[in-house]
This record gives sequence, structure tokens and C-alpha cells, in this order.
Amino acid sequence: MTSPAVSRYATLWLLVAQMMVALPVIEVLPVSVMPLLVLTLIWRALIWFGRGVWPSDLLRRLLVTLALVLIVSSFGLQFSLELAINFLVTGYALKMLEMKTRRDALVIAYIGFFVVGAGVLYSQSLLQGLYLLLCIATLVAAIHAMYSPVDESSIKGSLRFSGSILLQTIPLILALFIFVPRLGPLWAVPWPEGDAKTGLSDKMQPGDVARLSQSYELAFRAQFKRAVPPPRERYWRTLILDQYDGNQWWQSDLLQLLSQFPGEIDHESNWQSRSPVSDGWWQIELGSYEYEVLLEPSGRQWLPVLGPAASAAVESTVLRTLRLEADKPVYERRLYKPASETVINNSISMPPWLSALNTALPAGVNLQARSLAYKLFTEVGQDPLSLGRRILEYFHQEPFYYTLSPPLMGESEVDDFLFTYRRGFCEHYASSFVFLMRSVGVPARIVTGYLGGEYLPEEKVVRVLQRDAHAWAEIWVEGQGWIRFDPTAAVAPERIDLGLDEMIEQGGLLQGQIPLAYRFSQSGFLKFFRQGWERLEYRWQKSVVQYQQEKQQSFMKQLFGTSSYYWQQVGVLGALLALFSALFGLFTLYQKPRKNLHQKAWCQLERKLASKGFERQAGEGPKDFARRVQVEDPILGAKAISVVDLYIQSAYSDNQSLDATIFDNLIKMIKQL
Amino acid sequence: MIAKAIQQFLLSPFQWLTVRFRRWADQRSPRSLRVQLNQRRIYILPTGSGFFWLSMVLVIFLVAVNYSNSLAYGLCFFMLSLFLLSILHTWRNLAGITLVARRAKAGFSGEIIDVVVECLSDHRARYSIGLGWPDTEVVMVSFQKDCEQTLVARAGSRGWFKPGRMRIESIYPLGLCRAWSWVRLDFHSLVYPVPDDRYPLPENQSADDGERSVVNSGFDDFTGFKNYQETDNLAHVYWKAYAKTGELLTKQFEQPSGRELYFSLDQVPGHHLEQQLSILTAWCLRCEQQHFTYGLMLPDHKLVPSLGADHLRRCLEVLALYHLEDDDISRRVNGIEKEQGKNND
Repeated sequence: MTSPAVSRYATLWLLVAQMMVALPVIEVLPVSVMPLLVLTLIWRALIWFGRGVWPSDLLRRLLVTLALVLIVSSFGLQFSLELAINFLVTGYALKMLEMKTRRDALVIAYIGFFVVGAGVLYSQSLLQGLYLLLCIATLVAAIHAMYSPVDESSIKGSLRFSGSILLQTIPLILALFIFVPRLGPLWAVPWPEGDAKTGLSDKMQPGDVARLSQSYELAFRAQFKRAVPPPRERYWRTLILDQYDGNQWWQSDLLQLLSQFPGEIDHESNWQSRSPVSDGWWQIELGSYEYEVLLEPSGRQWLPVLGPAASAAVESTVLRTLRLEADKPVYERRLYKPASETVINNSISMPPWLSALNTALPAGVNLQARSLAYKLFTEVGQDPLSLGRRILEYFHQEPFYYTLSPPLMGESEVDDFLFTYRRGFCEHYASSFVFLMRSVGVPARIVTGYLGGEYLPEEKVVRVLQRDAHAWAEIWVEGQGWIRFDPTAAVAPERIDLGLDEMIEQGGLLQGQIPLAYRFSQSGFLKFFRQGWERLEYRWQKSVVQYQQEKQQSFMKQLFGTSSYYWQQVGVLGALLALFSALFGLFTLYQKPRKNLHQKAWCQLERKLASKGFERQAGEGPKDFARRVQVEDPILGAKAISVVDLYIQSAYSDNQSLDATIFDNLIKMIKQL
Repeated sequence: MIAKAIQQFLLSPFQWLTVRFRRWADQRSPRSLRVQLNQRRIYILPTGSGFFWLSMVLVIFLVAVNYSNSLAYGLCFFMLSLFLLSILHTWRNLAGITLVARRAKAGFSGEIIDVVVECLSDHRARYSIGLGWPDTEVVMVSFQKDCEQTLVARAGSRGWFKPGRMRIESIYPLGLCRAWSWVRLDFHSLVYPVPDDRYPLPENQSADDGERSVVNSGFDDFTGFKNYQETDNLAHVYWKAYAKTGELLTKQFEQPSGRELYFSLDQVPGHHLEQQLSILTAWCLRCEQQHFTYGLMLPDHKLVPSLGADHLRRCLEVLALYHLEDDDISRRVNGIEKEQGKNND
């Protein structure tokens, strides 16, 4: 059986869908493939308008070969997600050039669904979700148009169908989404390449962490054995930035240190260690928290830990900066168990080179800040700890603001921030703090990592998103060790206690005076819209995108109590599906005995006569009935006969359409009986 | 019996299943003049693309699991829901339709016959419905309200026209599922025996067989004029009219046949009843064509010799129904006479 041809409407829908579904993955497509895609699109559109010819077999083969060569040349032959997506998108486009039968069109539409599926791997934002919904609606409309009768299909009809069936799927999708048990990954899969970019970086320029605050992606989850730290103690130490060039901060690596301190560092063992405690770095004691971390693929080597890392975990080393580093970049989810011991703070040794490293500053920049530091340092009697507290006080007293969208600072960043703009994100505060400390010779460094995280009490799991990224500082106090200072706490204590999201929810951000140019983008409707959208996005991420294994389990425990929930879950799902199909089935099955207008009128007439004591007998026709009435009650009978005549005239007339005047007359006469 | 069934099943399981299924479906849907499609009669299964769709759902589910991606889960659940809904929608597209056997032309066994079926839509628009007999033609129809569809069906063996299972199917709206039903409609029309033209008309009949030679006057009964055709006998041209109007007209005569034939089963070669009836059919047709008067003398039916379309039809009807092993011939004969009476009115 040959497949029927595709209607013009279906082709139009597919063309539109092609442009739409390619958009979310367009960043993945190499530049060289683009012209090919545009060419096929235009070509097919020309054919649609009746101005083009179908390409010959040879030409099609050439195009396919060309596409293959282009794709393979930009991605290589090794399987990656990008390669697969490219094959899908190009296949989608090229198939359009040989789409003549419904079977071809179906293949194209189905590829469209796969491309949509690829799109969600790159972003799961609310906007992306809504856009892909639109793509799906278009694809469904296209499939509907393929199966509609050619002469009766219309753009509106397919659109209406697509919209209505999308609405009908909602209860089903909700039931499935909530109750289908989430499994852990079955095997390792290639992750989108762009993914490594979101996350902390080992170089920090002001603005980097603020950018992360837009990402709702999961960074890692930590499961605790016994006690769980309160939110203000959840400082997930990930990176220590101790090198500064006046513009950006970065972390030292061994090679750099070897050249910087040639006499003092001569071996790897001076910097990183695999054994629990290397000679005399520090001493350890039993800590209060025992936990495991499941890190999402980051493409980086560093491993977040709660507080200073005392000793190395499996397949990792501990660095002199009290952090963990994995042996290999983390490309797949990785589970590790940081040592439950903690560092005895005052036992940490501070060789001269380390001290020098942590007080180094480029000369000649941020002079204002330096003089401020000297002034404050003398005020507090040259005590590092007091200075730290004084600076926090300074941030608190002066009009400093915490904002997600800090203004661009000039050449002397610290000066600009401290004296001109006075608004910034955590990294501005941390880097200024460290700069001030170093100005007076107190060893200080920036720590980046994550702060807080959402706690799921049922599983004792803390989920940390990329947006929980944070930067703080630590200073060296002789005899006490490294002391943590979080300048952000002085400006926006809510950030520490509540976390970023709650802070946004409560509108705690972006208050007070804001520079003019900045105010414009934040004013009135725009601001209202932005904040509203931000809130929506947050809810979307929290309740939909992050609805994964643990979230589901804790939700199910809420629903069914603490017993084993798995089977209840499946049971409820089955029951809901059954209920839904039963409802829908009833709706379609139950065919109300539909009466047409005349039948209704006749019933009315019968009721009327019955109320006067005349029941129509079984098998008695209208005319006979009326005649019988006439025999017993001539006056009523005469009326009944004329009504019945009118009824017969109206109900059994030759023309199909209803004669409104006759019918109205009939109703009137029945009422007058 | 069971052994035979098992053997058949082993030989070709698919065919065995199909046969079984159809037999079962026939039981559920007896022959009738009008059939309403309801849950008893409508069957539904995924199409090829439906199965492909489900495998796509599986692939996207695996992607969702491995990437722990909620939107991929969402897409997968959407596609699954769409499939489930499409079952109901496709089914709904057929449900409630009533098919009524309206009329069918009489024809000879094995012929393809025009059949009119009325589709009652039950107040819903129906789209892209395949309607017809798979061995002849299935047409795609859509209708908003009640309508009549002319279809073609192959006439089976002689007797009452009982076309095989008519198929009504639909994959609208998304082509993921196919809903179908087998409907057996009863038509009040006849299928005549297939004419077997290989034997000559009986030549020499003995007197007691009813042979009666008639002298063919050929020019006796003038019946009217018709336009001249080249093959007409020039002697029959009405020259007077030509002289007056310039039109060539031919005088027409009812041509009583040279012979009058009274067929009985004994004269027919062959031993098989069906073959004999086929031969008789052919003879009747030939006589009608050659304007021989003919009659039928069958054990329980007698039709006196005559000529004309009505007579031919009557003869063919008798031949069609002769010794038919049918339960209610007489009722149906009455039925058909009534129907014909109506048609004549």
C-alpha cells in the first residue's frame, strides 16, 4: 500500500516546526552547517510556493554527503551529544527535500520530537519549557494535518485540535510526572559540552559569581549521617583564590609556586598530599559531621567540602589550602566521602612563603583603599581580628548594597567599589575585604564555593544549586589559624540565613538608592516584571525541574507517611490513570439519547395531552391518537388534530432544513393546548 | 478437531489467528440491515507508526533517566499521554456511526456491484474514514452529517446479495492507532448465477418438452420509429418521412422470435446444479438478446414463455433463488416483491 501524499497544510506546519525546533540547539550547530540548513529551508519553501523543483537523486545524495562531511569535520567521529543533535537537525532539514508521501512527513515530524528532546538537555528554564511546548503544539498540528481529509483540513482546525489535545493531556502528564518513580542514571552518558561552563571557575573576576546566581542547575547533593549543619554553617569550601593581579583572582598551582618561591618549594609534597596528614601541615580531630557528596559533572577537578578539608578522600589529594582536588576532572556524577575529621585550627603551620603568597598585592592600584586600610588598622590597634570586624562594621554602617547585577567597575576596582558605587555581589565584598587585609600585611585569601542549600529532612540531604555559589574570605591570625570572615553577612545577613532564593522571594534584594543608568533597567514595570519572572522561574525550577529522586521520595513520604512508598506510588498512578480513562471513556461512551427538536416538541405535546387525561397507547400513531382524542373530547381533539398536522408538516417535510416559522408556530400551538 | 486446529495454527499462525478473530468478530456482529458501531464492534490497535511512537517514548524516557532531566521526563510523559488520548479519539471517530444497507444493483455472481450505504453520523463530524470491501475498493470519506456513500462490492454466489465483511476503519487524528470494524450488511438484492455461455441453445426439442415452432413473420407488429442506423434494413426505412422532412427513420417491429423455447433442467447439459443454472442463465440472456420467446419450467417454478426486460428479470430471480438452501426464502421473496412494488410506484 503506498502512502498518501502530504497536504500543503501539513508541509507548511512542518516547515514552521523545523525553524522552531532548531532554534534552541542552534548554538550547537557548527557555522559551516548553517548555510546548508537555510538552503534546504528556502528550497523547500520555494517548492511549497510552486516555484521550485524537487532536487534530483544525485543532488540529494551530494547534499547528504556534504552535510556528513561538514558535521564529522567539526565534531570528529567520537560519539557526543552534539554530534547526535547535528545528525538529527540536518536529517530533519534534508528529509524535507524528499518529503512527498505521508511516511516521509511522519519521519520528519518524529525527528522533530527528538530535536525537542535534545533541546531540554541544554536548558530547562521556564522560558525554554514554554517555547518547547509551542514547538510540540506545532508538531502535533503538523501530524494532525497529515491525517486530516485534504479538502477539509485548515490551519485553524489543526491548531484547534492541537490546543485541545494538549489541554487534555495535562491531567495525565501531571499524574505521570508526580508518580512515575524516578530512577537513578542507568549508565554514563555524554553530557552537553557547554555544561562545564556553568559552575565555579578557578579565576574570579567580579561578576562571575553573580552570573552563576542565574543558574538553577544542581551542583551537588550531600547526604548526612547524623547531625546536619544549620544553614549559616553550610559553607561548602571549593576553591581558594590567593593570587591577585589587580583585576582578577585565581588559585595558585604548583608550577606557578615553584617559580615564585624557588628555594622554599621544591616538591609536590609541599603543596598537595595524598596521605591523611602530611608532615606538620596541621593536626586533626574528630569532626561533628559525617556526610557523602554526590557531585554533578562539572568538568573540573575540585571537590566541595564542608569546612576546611583535613585529609584526602579516595582518588583525590588534599591541598595546603585546605581543599580537596580530584585526580581527574569530574565528567560523570561522582560520589565521594570527605574525611569526617576536622582541622585543629591553631595547629596549622604557616611557612614564610605561604605568608608571603597571601599578602602579595600588585603595587600602585587602589590607593584610596590602601589608605583606608591603614587608617582602620591603626584605629583598632593593629589587631588583625579587630580589623576584620571593623571592616565588616564599615560595610554595615556605610551605604553598601547587595545586588545581583552590580555596575561595571573601572580600572581600580576596589576603589570604585568602596568609594563610588558601593553595591556589589558577594565577590566584590570578599575581594575588597581581602584587599584591605593584605594592604596592612595580614595574610588573607578568597574562598569560593557554595553557601546554604536546600535541606530535605526526610533523606537528610542538602541539595546545592549553582546559584548557591558564594565567595567569602579568610584571614590568618597568628596562634588561631585561618579565620573565616563573610563580608556579605554584614551587608545582607538574609543571604546567609535564608539563602538567595528566599531573599529574592521576600524582595530583600535591590533596595535603596541605585545609580541612574542602573535604576532605569530596574524601575517600575520592568523591575516588577523581572522580579515576577524571577519568582516564577524559581518556583518552576524548585517544583518541576528539580523534582528528581530525592524530591519525589520526600514528597511521597509526605503523602503516604514514612512507610515504604514505592508501591503506593505505583498504585496511585495506576488508579489515577484508570480513573482518567474511565472518565474519558464515559464521556465518549455515554451517548445521551439525543432528541431532535421535533422529538422534543412531540414529547411536550404528549405530556400536555397526558395532563388532560389522554395517554398515547403503544403503537398508536400521532394521527390516530389525535383522532381518538377528538372522539372523546371534540374541542381539544380538533386542536390536537391541527397541532399534529402541523407537527407532521414540520417534522417530515422534504427539505432538510428546519422551517423556523412553522416550527415556532407548532411550539406556540402546543403551549396553547 | 483440536488436533486439526493445532496443525493449522502451527502451519500458519497468523492466518489461523486472523481466521479465528474474524469468526469471533462475526459472532459478535451478526448480519443485519443496519449496524451501529459500538464498543462491541470496534477494535483498536496501534499502527506501525504507533509502535514507532512508543519506542520513541522509551528512548526519551531513557534519556530522561540518564540525564535526570525533568523536562525530558515531561516530554516523554506528554508523548505517552498523547498516545493514550489518541486511542480514545480514534475510537471516538468511529463510535456511534450507524451503517444502513440502502440499495444494491442486481448483478451476476462475481461481478462488481454498486452498493449504496447510508452513514448516520450521530451528530458528530467524522473525518478520514476508510469505507468499503478490501477485495474491491476502500474509499476515504469524511462527513459532517448523515450521508449516502456509493461503494463497490464483489457479488458472491447466486442468491441474496450478501457481500462479505465490509471494513470501516480510521486512523484519524494522529495515525497512532487504527480503529476498525467488520460489518456484514444485508442487502435486498439478488445475485444471479454467472452466465455460462459455452453451450448452444437446445435445437431440437421433442413436442412433449414443449417445443413449439412459430413461423416468423418478422414484419407483423409495427411498434414505432427510431432514427436510422447504418445497419438497419433499407426495406424498413420510412421513406415517406424522408421525403417530407429529410430525416431518415426506420420502422420498428416487435420481432417475435422464430422460436419459442421452454427450458427445463433436463435439457441442460452437465450434472452439477449450479452449472446447469449458469447455463440456463446464459440461455435466457441469449434468447432475450435474439428476441426468442423463452420460458422456464423448473420442478417448483414455472414461467410461461415471454419476452422483455421484466420477464428476463423474473427468470433470473427464479434461477438465482432456485433450490437455495436458505432459511427464509419465502419471506424474502415477499420482501423483494414489496420492494419492487415500491420501486414501480
